Amino acid sequence: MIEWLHPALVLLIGALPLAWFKGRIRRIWQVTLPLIVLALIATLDSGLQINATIMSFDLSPLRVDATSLVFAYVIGIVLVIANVYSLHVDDPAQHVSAMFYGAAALGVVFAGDLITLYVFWEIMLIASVWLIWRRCNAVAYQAGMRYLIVHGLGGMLLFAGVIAYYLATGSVAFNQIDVEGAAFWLILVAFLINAAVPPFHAWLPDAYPEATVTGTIFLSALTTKTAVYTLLRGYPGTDLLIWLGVVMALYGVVYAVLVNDIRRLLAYHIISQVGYMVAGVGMGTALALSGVAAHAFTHILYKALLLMGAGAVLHMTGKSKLSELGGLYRYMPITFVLYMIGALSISAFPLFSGFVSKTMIVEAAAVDYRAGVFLLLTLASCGTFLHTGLKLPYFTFLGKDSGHRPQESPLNMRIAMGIAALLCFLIGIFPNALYALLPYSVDYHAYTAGHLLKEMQLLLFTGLGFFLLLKHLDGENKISLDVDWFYRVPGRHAVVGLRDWITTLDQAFRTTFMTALERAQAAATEFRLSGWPMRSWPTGAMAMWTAVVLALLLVFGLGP
Amino acid sequence: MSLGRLLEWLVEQKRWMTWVTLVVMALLVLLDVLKTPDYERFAWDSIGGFAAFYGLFSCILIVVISKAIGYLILYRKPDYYTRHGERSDD
Repeated sequence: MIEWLHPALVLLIGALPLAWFKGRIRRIWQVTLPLIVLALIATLDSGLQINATIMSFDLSPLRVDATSLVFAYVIGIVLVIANVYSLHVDDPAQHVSAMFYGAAALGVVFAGDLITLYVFWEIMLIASVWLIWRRCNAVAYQAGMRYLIVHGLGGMLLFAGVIAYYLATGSVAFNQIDVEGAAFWLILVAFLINAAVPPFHAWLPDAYPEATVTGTIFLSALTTKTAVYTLLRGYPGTDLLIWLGVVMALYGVVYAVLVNDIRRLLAYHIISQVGYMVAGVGMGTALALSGVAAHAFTHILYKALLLMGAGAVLHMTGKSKLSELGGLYRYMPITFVLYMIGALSISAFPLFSGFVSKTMIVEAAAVDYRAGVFLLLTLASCGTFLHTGLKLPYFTFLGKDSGHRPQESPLNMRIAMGIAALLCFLIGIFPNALYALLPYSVDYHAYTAGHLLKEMQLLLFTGLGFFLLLKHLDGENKISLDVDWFYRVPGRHAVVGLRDWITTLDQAFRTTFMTALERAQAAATEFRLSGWPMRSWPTGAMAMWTAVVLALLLVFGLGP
Repeated sequence: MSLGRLLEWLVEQKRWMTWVTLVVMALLVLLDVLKTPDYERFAWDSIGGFAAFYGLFSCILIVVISKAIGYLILYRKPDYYTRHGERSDD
């Protein structure tokens, strides 16, 4: 019986009591529920598929295989970590929506058909936007609204794509999308929007840094990585994705130089890291695809850790701009050290998790002799270390003293960061445990002398470059425009202009109509007051009109 | 606070640690020059110390290009979007 329990359904139903539970009971249930779900995922056997036929559609709401399991495990783990991190938050709306969001993400990775996928895709959106809105300020509300609109559009494209796919193939099964024409492109663009592939990426660095401190952890883990999963399933070996991925990896790096907000910097590095995964999907070899799954797994954990560190700084100081931070390591040493474990992981330092996964994707480019891809992905990885591993911690925790004297972050935050850091470290030391979960068995060894030598040179000399350019790297109190500018400025002006034009037109029409009405009213009054309708009538005219009426009655009413 | 003390002590050893790191970096390059390369997939695989050069080059390239793009096109004042009709928190 247990194998019939869909983890997403358990999480959806289990989340509801969080709306009422208070205090200790709420805290206990908030951690127990994702643990139950994680245990449930562990009981699912690869190969299990539950089918159902609804309105002549063959649905499979639960399809378990190695690919879905590796994503489900890490979603389960990050749900536990992020809930521990948000234990101190007393806001039922956030807890319920976070659980719904997690449930929908699990629903997506277990969906064996496009209809189930679409339904969970939309639940993910509706649940996740509350993690932005519950920051409860005007900026977050507007960013959330833009997030909702962009993803709403993406959802519509997916819906249209699913219909087109059904019309073209007669099936809604979710496997490789190998159909020509509209279905291919509609579904692809919908997936690319959620994966934050430029130019469809601007929602991510726009909204994530405005979300609540704890909500960002869920956001960073779920939306882009479920999109990577769907790309991995639907579009492996699509050449276009290789270069889109490379562009993404570099795009995030360029913006990370420019931005001042630490959570926005990390958000741009989500784009950069997902770029490796998108490129890996495009390469489509067994090594590349396994690298994608491995990198998604490690990325979810270290990015959660990094954002938890940045979130702890924001929570304790109320500041998140590099130009307003500095010298915090004395006051938040544990947060600093745990953050650095995440930073060394994302930078692919040996012994940390990123090293065993990112190098798989780069290696996959090398074994296929893709020189350009190899060099550009390596370039992006230097940028990752430069910003996440050096610039952000240097100007936040070291560097000049900003005058903040915060306490260390709350215990639950430190525990959550500690769990994530431990996992980053364990995966780095025992990569074979992760490799055993991967969809394709690959003979890959991260820890060869050649890899270690190259990686350490690359990283340490990037560090040298950082200290040489240190003066120019502090955060500047500016914002950097991104493609969201198009809908935030010209788009806004166009809509406001259209609104004003319609208002003017509407007012002109009303004024004209009212003037005409007033004129008619005046004429009627004048007509009445003139006494003309009440004047005395001549008898001859009366007799004639009576005769006319009688004649008409005879013709139309009383005739034979 | 012992972890904080330890970190403070490490920061005080900055100069010493910098030298150790620089020596390690020199040794890594030397080792790479002397070692027979593992791969011959790309032309640069056989150049000793290429990764070191590429790391430094990447770092400088990224900073120079990004800052140039920032100053030429992308940088705006923090209240840019507020001036274009969005509400701020204040």
